[in-house]
Amino acid sequence: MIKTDIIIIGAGPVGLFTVFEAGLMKLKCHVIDSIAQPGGQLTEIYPKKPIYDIPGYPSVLAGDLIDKLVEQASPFKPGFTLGERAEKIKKVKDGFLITTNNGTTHNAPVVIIAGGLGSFEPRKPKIDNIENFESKGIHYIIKDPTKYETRNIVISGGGDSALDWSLYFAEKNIFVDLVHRSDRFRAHKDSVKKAFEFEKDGKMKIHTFSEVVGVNGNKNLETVLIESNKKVKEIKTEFWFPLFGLSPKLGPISNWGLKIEKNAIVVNTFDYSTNIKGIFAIGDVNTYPGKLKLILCGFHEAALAIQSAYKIINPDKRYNMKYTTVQGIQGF
Amino acid sequence: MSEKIKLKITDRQGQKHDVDVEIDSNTNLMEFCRDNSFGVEGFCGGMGSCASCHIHIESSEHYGNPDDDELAMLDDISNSKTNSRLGCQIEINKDIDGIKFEIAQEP
Repeated sequence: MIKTDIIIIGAGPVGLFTVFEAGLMKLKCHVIDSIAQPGGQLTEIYPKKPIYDIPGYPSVLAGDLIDKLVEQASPFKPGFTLGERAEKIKKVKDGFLITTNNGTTHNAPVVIIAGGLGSFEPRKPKIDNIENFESKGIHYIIKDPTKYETRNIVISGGGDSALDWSLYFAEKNIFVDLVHRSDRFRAHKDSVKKAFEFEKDGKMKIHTFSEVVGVNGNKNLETVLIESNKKVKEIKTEFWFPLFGLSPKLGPISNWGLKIEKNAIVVNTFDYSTNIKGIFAIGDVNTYPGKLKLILCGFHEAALAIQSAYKIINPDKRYNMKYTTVQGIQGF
Repeated sequence: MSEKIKLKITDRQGQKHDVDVEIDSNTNLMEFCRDNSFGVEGFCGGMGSCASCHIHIESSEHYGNPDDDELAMLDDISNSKTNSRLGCQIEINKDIDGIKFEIAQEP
């Protein structure tokens, strides 16, 4: 069981900045996120897009902002449970018990939900028996690539995730069949160029205007059917990774007894507390009159929520707020 | 009184809606559908990065050509067709008066 002061659900920009704000008040945080790396939608959806409304940054790439926030939070040594979705919550004597879909348990007196638009669920291709092979050769998210180091693999998609993983495996001399519905790729141009170079070197085969249309196997995946120009070819493989991106769903949080309106958690703007004492909601996941879904508003909400969180965690202590220019950063 | 145009929308339940919309500067089809309870999330805010505003244009007209980024996004969605567009990339103005479209099912 992981014990901490504050469980933060969501490792996006607002969740990461909460770690920093909590750290200033000597509160330790543990962050849970369904994606395998920090950053939320900034990393998952638009890492290469510039953001222009972060104070002090005339322009910053979404991915770079996340790197900076991770660096800013690092003196406070946050714990992370990544690639697991916060599934269940239970009120216990000393706060809350949160269990993920993998069964990891976390305990803290305060929970701060910074879940953005919810947990990211993979977009699944429509193939009849696909469910039979999920986690038995078909994986929508690659958490630990060393598990898949075999002779050859198949990857579908044209975005950064599909290309980056194709290059990763090809570099390890694992032959990759990359299957994409057209000859346009959303991925970074350099990655696409490198993939075509790898194809020339015989390390991968890029199937454009193609789709995986069927999967077969006994218990585990054994072959996939690739359709190109109305011809179907069967390829032997132990692993197929359909990487068509992820889309967010509020998911299990909606069943936690929180007051919800239009897919967002209703909060009190005094401290962004929810209807359950000890649970706060900040960033895109909350709603209140005048709500603006901006990263900078989420940062403000984090700072205020932490003030009330401190009082719950330390009911008998008074906190004397000092500027960082006065006290500096005293990490853990 | 500002000018109005007509939109013919088929929602994800197959219900048809004929709506009159004021030509409002800086509003696109995703924002209109999101703000008027058509169940469109538009969670990337209109960057063309999430495809949650995927629509199928049913009018014969094409209403402009999607750029390469939009096409590449559409290529990554399993239920995209040749008449697919991202609602966030189509601005509401008099050029699209009478546009008929279906909000695509979530893939």
